[in-house]
Amino acid sequence: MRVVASPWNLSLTGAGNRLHRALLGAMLAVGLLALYMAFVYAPKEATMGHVQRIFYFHVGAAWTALLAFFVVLLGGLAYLRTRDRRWDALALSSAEIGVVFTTITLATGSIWAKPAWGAWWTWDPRVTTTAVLWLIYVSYLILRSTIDEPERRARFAAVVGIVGFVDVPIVFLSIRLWRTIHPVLVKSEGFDMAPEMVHALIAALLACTLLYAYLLLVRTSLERRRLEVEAAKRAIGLY
Amino acid sequence: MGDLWYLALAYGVIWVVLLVYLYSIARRQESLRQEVRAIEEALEGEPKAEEEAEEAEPFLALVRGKGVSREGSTRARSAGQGRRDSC
Repeated sequence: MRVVASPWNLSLTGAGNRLHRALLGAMLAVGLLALYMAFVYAPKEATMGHVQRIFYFHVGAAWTALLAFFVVLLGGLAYLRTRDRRWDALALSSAEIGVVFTTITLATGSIWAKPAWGAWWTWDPRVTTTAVLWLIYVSYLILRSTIDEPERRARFAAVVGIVGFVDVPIVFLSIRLWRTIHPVLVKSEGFDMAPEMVHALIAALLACTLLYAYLLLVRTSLERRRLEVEAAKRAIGLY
Repeated sequence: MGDLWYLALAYGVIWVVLLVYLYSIARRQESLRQEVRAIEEALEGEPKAEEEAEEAEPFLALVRGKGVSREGSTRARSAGQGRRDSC
């Protein structure tokens, strides 16, 4: 078994290694293109100025976080059905990445809010439900670290991951369910912005999705190797 | 503070959060590699003991007044190898 320290040089074999390289290449290419579009291609917004450029990767990170928590839900359901710990490894990896992207969403939103709303933080429904989502999945990770027995840990985590997902549609619908000052991106007549801005947003969404896929591959592979090492230690009596 | 300052701060935060996460993954990989090394060392310790037993065998045979049989030690070595392969 060979484990390499750098996440850029993860030891995968065959198809896994090819997928890893392809994802890394696509992620870097689309990421650079998305940055170019956000900073150069998209026009300066009339009222907010350059601060509006935060929006592209803020929305990209928010979308990726919701996608990551959906994968946690799927991983949890698959684990409860099959009791295969590889599904638990997938759910754990996705939850971790989801928390990273939710942190980015909250931080960039807060930085945007200061010049736009005059405050770093407001208890707006969208902001509050997103903060609750972050807390749910941080609790998921903390819960995992408090349970020693692997099967029990995976079972509890799967249940929390599934129940926690209830907040995801609430976050998505919060700007329609309650009165909010958060901007509404898509209206009944379509996107409420210039076409160049829509292109830049699509590029950012794609870049964030590819980054998520790459991180998920790296993190899941690490977790599966950790399970293998755990099993090897048990087999030779090191546990 | 100008709007460019907020823009730089926001993208700076994105990079810092991502780099910290990548660093945490790299550290966990390194720690896993050390664990693998520890397992390998634990397994490598076993053949050494077998080799010592093998070296001691002719002397034991002389003491017992019998011929030297290497069959037992070969069997022990292949058992050790089999255990390593399974891991």
